[in-house]
Amino acid sequence: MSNTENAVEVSRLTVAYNSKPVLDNVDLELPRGMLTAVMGPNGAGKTTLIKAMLGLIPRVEGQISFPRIDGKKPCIGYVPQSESIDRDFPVSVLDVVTMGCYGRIGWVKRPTRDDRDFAMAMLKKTGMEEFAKRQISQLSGGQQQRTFIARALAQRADVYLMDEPFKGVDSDTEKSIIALLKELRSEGKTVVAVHHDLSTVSDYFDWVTLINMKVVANGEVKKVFTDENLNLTYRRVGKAGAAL
Amino acid sequence: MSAEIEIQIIAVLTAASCAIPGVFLVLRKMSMVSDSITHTILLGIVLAFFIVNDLSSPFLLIGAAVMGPVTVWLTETLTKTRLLSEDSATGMVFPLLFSIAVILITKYAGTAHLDTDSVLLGELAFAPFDRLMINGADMGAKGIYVSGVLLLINIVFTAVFYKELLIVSFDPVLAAVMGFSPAILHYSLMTTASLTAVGAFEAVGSVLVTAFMIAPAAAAYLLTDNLKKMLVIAVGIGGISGILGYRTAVFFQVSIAGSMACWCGIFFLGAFMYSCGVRKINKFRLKTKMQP
Ligand SMILES: Nc1ncnc2c1ncn2[C@@H]1O[C@H](COP(=O)(O)OP(=O)(O)OP(=O)(O)O)[C@@H](O)[C@H]1O
Ligand SMILES: [Mg+2]
Repeated sequence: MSNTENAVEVSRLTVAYNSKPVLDNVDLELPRGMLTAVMGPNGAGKTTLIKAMLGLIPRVEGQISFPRIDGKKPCIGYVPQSESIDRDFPVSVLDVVTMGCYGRIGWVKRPTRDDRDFAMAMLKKTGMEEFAKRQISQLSGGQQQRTFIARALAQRADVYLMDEPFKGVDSDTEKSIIALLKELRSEGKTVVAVHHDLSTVSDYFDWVTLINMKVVANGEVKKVFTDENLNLTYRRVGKAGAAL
Repeated sequence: MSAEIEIQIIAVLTAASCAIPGVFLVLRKMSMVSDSITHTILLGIVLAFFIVNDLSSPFLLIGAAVMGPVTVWLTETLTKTRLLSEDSATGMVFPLLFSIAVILITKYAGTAHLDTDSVLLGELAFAPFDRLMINGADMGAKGIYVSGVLLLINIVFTAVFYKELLIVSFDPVLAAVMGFSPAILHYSLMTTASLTAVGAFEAVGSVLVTAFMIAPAAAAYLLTDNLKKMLVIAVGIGGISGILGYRTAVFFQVSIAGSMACWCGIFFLGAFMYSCGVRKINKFRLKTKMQP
C-alpha cells in the first residue's frame, strides 16, 4: 500500500499512557508537497501523534513510515510546542537556529562558518536578523516562534512536523509564517502542523486531519472540512454546525 | 613541592572539575541529582571493595561510576510510573542506597580504612600524605593526579561533545529527531558526573561535592547568557573558591572543604545580588525611558 505520493504513512497506530489509550488504531496517509493541518480538541492526541511520528514515544501497536523520496530517506524537521522550551537557557537566537544544522553536521564535528551564515540567512528570511545576538528569553512570543521556524528552515528538511506554530503569534506574524510555509510547499516540501483556528484552515491548508483519539476525517480541506465532521471531532451537541 | 601548595592545587583542580558537569546539571534542572549521586556512589565503592578487597583498586572508581547512572535510572523508572513525583522518587532512592552503603561499611569494613567520617567529610589536609610512588621515586601527592585526570576528562568530554550536550540539554526532542540520542548523552553525563564525584569526594567528602557542582554553576548562570562563558565562569569560581577556601581555613583553623564550600556560596550570593541589581536598574531605565 506504500504510495510514493505520501509523505507520511501511519497504520494501526495505538498509543497509550499507563494503559489509557490516547490514540486508538489510527490509520493515516498524508500527501507529499502539501500543507496539512492536524486538528482536534485539547487532549485529542495531536501532540502525541506528532511525537509518535517522530518515533519519540513507545507505541502499543502500529507502524509509521516516511516513504523514500528519489530513493533517499527523507529528512524530518520539527518545531516544538512553545511551552516545552526553556526560555532562560543561555543560548542566543543565532545559536538556536544553528542547531538546525546539527543533524547534517553529525556527531562531534563543529558547526562551521558556512553553517552559521546559513543560519543567519534563515533568520533574514523570517525577519529576525536584528535579533541574532539576543538571548532567547529577551524575545516576544511571536519572535520566539519565528526563531523556531528559522531553525526548522535551517534543517532543510523534506517533511516538517510543527506543533502549533501559530500559538501566541499576532496576525501579521501568522501571515508571514504561513507565507514561509507556502514557499516550502512550492519547493515540494511537506508541512504537517497542529492547528487550532477553524476560521483560517481553508486559507492556509490544503489537507486536514481531524482527530479525537481516532481519525475522524482525513482528506482535502474542500472535501472533509465539513460541519458534520467538525461536530464529530469536537463532540459538539445540539444542532449541527451551530457552534461554528 | 610543599604540602600547602599541593593541597591548594588539589582544591583548585577538584572544584574546577566539579563545576563542569554542574553547569549541565543546573541547566537541565537536575541539581538534586548531584546530591543523590554523590551519596549513592558510596554504595558502588563499597560493593566494589567487597569484590576486590583493595581500597586503592581502580575498580572502586568503576563501581562508583556505574552506581551514579544506576541511581538516575532507578529514580527515573520510579518517576515514570507516575505514582511518585520526581523529587519523592529521588528522596526514596538515594537514602535507601546510601543507607545500605553506610550499614555495610559499619558492619563489615570496620577494619579497612573505609570509615564513614572520611567518606562524608573527606580530608584535604591529609591528601599530601598519600604519595604517588613510581619505582620508589616520589611523584607528588596522588590527589593531584586524580583531580588533574578528572578535570582533563571533564574538559575533553565537554569540548568533544559540546554541540551534542547543548542540543540535548536545550531541546531533547530535536536532538532525538536528529539522531543525537538523549539517553546516551544523558547517561554519559551522569557517568562523568559520578566519576567526578568519586574523585572529589576523596578530597572534600560526599556532602560537599554537591556544593562544588551546583553553586559555581548556579552563580555563572546568573552572570551570563552564553553557555561557553557560563562554563568558563563556573570553572573560575570553583577554582578561586578552592584557593580562598584553603587560605580562610588555615587562617581560622577550620575545615578546608567547609570553607571552600562557603566561598562557593559567597560567590553565588554575590552573583545573585548582582543580577537582582541589574534587573532593578533595567526596570528603572525602562521606566524613565517610557516617561515622556
Ligand atoms: N506523558 C504523558 N503521560 C500520561 N498522559 C499523557 C502524557 N502526555 C499526554 N497525556 C495525555 O494524553 C492525552 C493527549 O495528549 P496530547 O498532548 O497529545 O493532546 P493534544 O491534542 O496535543 O492537546 P493540546 O491541544 O492541549 O495540545 C491527554 O489526555 C493527556 O492528558
Ligand atoms: Mg498539544
